[in-house]
Amino acid sequence: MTFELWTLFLAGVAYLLVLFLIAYAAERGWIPSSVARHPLTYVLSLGVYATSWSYYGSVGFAQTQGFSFLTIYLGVTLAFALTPVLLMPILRLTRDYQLTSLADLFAFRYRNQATGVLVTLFMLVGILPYISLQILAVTASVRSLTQVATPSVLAFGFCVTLILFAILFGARHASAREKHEGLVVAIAFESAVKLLALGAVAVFAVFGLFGDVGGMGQWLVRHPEALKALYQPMQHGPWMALMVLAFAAAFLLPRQFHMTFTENIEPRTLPFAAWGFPLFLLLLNLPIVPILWAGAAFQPGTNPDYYVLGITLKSGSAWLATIAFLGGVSAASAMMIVETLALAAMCLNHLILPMSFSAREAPYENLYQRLLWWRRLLIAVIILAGYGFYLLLEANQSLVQLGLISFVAVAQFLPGIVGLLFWPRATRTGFIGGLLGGGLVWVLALLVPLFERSGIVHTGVNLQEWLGAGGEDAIAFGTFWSLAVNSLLFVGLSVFTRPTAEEMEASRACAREMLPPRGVVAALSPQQFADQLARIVGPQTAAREVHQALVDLEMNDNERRPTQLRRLRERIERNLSGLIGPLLARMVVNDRLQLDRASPLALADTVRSLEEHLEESRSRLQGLAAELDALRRYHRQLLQELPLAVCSLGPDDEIVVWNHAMERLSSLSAREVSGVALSGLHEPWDGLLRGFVDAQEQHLYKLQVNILGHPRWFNLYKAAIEEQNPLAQARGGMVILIEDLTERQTLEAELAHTERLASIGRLAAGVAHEIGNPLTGIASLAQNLRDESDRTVVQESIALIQEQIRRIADIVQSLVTFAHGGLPSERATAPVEIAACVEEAVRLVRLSRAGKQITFINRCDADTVLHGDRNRLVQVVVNLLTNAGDASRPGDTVEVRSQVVDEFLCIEVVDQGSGIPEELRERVFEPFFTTKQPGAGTGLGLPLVYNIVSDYGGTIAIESNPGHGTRVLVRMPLTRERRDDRISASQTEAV
Amino acid sequence: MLSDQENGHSRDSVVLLFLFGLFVFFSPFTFWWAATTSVWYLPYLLWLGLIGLIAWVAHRHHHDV
Repeated sequence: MTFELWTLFLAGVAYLLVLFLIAYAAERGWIPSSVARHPLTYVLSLGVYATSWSYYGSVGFAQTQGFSFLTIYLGVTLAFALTPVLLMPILRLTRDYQLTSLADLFAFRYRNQATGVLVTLFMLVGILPYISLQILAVTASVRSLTQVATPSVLAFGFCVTLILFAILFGARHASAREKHEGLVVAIAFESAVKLLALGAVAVFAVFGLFGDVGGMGQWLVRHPEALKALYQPMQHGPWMALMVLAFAAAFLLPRQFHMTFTENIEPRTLPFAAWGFPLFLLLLNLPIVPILWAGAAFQPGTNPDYYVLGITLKSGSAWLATIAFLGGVSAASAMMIVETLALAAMCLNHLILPMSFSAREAPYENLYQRLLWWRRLLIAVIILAGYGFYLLLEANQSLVQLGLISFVAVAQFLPGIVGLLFWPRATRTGFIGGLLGGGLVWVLALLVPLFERSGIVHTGVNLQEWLGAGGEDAIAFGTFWSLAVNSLLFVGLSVFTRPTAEEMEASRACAREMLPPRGVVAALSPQQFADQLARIVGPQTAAREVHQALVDLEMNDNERRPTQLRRLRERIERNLSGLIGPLLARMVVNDRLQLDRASPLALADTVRSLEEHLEESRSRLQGLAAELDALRRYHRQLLQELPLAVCSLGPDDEIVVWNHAMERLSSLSAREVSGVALSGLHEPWDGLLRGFVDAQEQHLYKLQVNILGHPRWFNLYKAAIEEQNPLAQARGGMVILIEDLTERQTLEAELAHTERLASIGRLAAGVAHEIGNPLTGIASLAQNLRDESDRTVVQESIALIQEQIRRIADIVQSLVTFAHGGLPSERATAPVEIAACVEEAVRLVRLSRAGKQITFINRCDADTVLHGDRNRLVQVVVNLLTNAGDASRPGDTVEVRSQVVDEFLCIEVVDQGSGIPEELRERVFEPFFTTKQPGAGTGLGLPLVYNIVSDYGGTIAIESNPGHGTRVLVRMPLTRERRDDRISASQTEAV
Repeated sequence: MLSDQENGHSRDSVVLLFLFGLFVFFSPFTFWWAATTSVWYLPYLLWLGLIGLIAWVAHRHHHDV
């Protein structure tokens, strides 16, 4: 059975079209996004690892090297077994810093243009043999099926087709940074096709050619050398070397790095791939042995590398042969597309753009379009370079040998990756030296012999002979010596050179250590960022990048805080890194978005940044660090949950801590105010806090503040935080506590009002009597006036009536004034004559029945004046006189005296009553404590007196002799200044 | 989030698993079973066993998280 050339070509193109349609459908959403994000899709997409080498070459490899062919997949299994410690950290790094290739990763770590260039060039040269082997496999497979020599134009046609599809898959849109869900789904489909195709061929081999499994077993019994041929080469062949190469290739090959990390859509799929991908590889390699034996048994007339196709020709089924052929095309094309896309990204970021940026004077008009066209050009160049390599090589090269030469090249990055993840001391000199040394050995040991075999060069160089290892397997020799030289130079040069500050910072980032923020941005707003960036990347790109960064950080255009602008700068750098590579991104940002690194750190900035980092790395902290973090959390929680409002300020008066109680009090969230200077707050907080910070006092009591039109009362306390570091220039900060007294004040005012009303109640009966007397007098005088004609008597009567009316008016006025104590905020302070105050109090108390029978003597000095609220002072005296009167017997005297000592007014109320027993004396100031019968007293009188006197900064003391009388001494400062001092002093003592 | 102890255990499991894999496929023990076996599918069985262990460790780690 043979095929027509054009049939096969069309079948190949049709298959690629189907692949493209699948990719397109996935990108348009016709295939649900959940399919692209599914772990199985991710695992299958990693199957791009299996190329023509696996599809065709494994059988040939098994024929010569037995089970050694499995090492190419066992090495991968071991690499994926280390997913949590090897692959996940790389995934995190690539995601966090938007690194799109291995070259980006190394350039990020070693902070050096030369690193990126070297990795890119080395990777390009190293992968060319691998690309050429795909072209070779496809042309050879066509030859197997058509049985005619393939025209060279076929290979070229295949390459041109692939260039087109590679551009369609990965370079269609202007913004080349988004993940390509379409590509992932298409490659996953391609892997499934490969698996099914090989499976179908194996099923045919076992059931079609051998008859059944038993038939194959019988053949094996008849040919025991077949089993031996599988196991024996393991002992003598390059088993160990191949395992190491496969281990490195599993994640360092450009296409593997691209699919595993760059195109990873859902990080949680990687742990699934840890076992899923090796399982796929196992299933893919299960058919190899039956196919090999079927080929050995039935001699299809092809090279063992193409037994897969050869035995399908024996089936007589064109469909089977076509499916097998398409499987091979699938394997080759997927590899070339993905590998080329990955290499193009590397070349763009590390070869093209650095040259373009340094040569450029004017900004780009549309950076995204430009990047897109360069990417397309690079795809074409790389594939054509692979074609050129293919033309140079001898036609009957072993597929596997070509692939292994590429593997050894890729393995040169293994020491660098290990250093990147686990050895912060590695330097760029060590890395570059190791790479050059290992690369040189690779060229001499493997590449030169390959060219010599193809007749391209005749150098006479034979490294193996020179080192006396002529009989060894070339791959094993090349692997060992290149890695040995690489590692020795890497370690040796790293130890003897110093890493730069940038390298240290990058190594800490790679090790996921905390990076404290540095410096203050020069720009004052996001718009200024955009303007600066526009000078290099053009206005359109700059605006878009700044906007994207704002969206990523959930910030808005009006952001002005220096700490947030610094975060914005970092984010812009990361986003640009995904577009033009980490080095150029840093260069652009450093150049255009100036940062003053010498500026002292804002404390709020440091605190917030450290807390964010600690949150992220919490699960990775161990030992003392973990315990310190737990302690930090405990203290932070304590501060946050404190029922007092806490606000702390840094050295520059910027807000560092703003706890939950403060948020509730001010209706400002911590997020809004963190890092803001006090002057950035609006009233009343700006004035209140700044005024308090600048004031001499450490405490302010019952400060009234108007918030949103409502009065509130606060106690404020402050304390300085001393700078711990004696060498530091900056002064420390300050902590402010605010105690909200509003509720208590309101409650006290209500209680006072209640007590006052209760007092009035007690006076009510007396009041009725007192008003009744003058009324009776008025009534009788008026009665007499009706019949009186003598003008003199009439005038006298009128005068008496007026006097009685005045008396009533006085009583009513006193009562009204007493009842209307007023709200705390409405109290007016004015000079109050103490003697007059006491006189009024006496008048009120006399209204009660008990009060009538007591003699009240006012010996207060008429000239003594106290500055305060008259009503409250009258209330104090009324309560004291009432108590004195209640304790006295009818006919006793109660005396009120006053004295001024050292600017303090001392008022004494002395009675001859029953006195207060010693055990009750401490309780008299307790609210609701009373020895009177229910209804006779509320127990609020003395507590109220105590409150009022305390508010004035005064004191009250009671001396009593049970059975003989009581002396109450009230001491109050005369002036306001003295009063405030007293308040401070008394409260400090209390604290 | 894992505690540091759980993280340490998880890392230990991964390293142990890797060492076991090396023992089976990258040590003199490899050549021993290659020399003494008489079934062609043994390498696949051992490979499947290793994959099973990787799956088990990954499952445990996932559950812990």
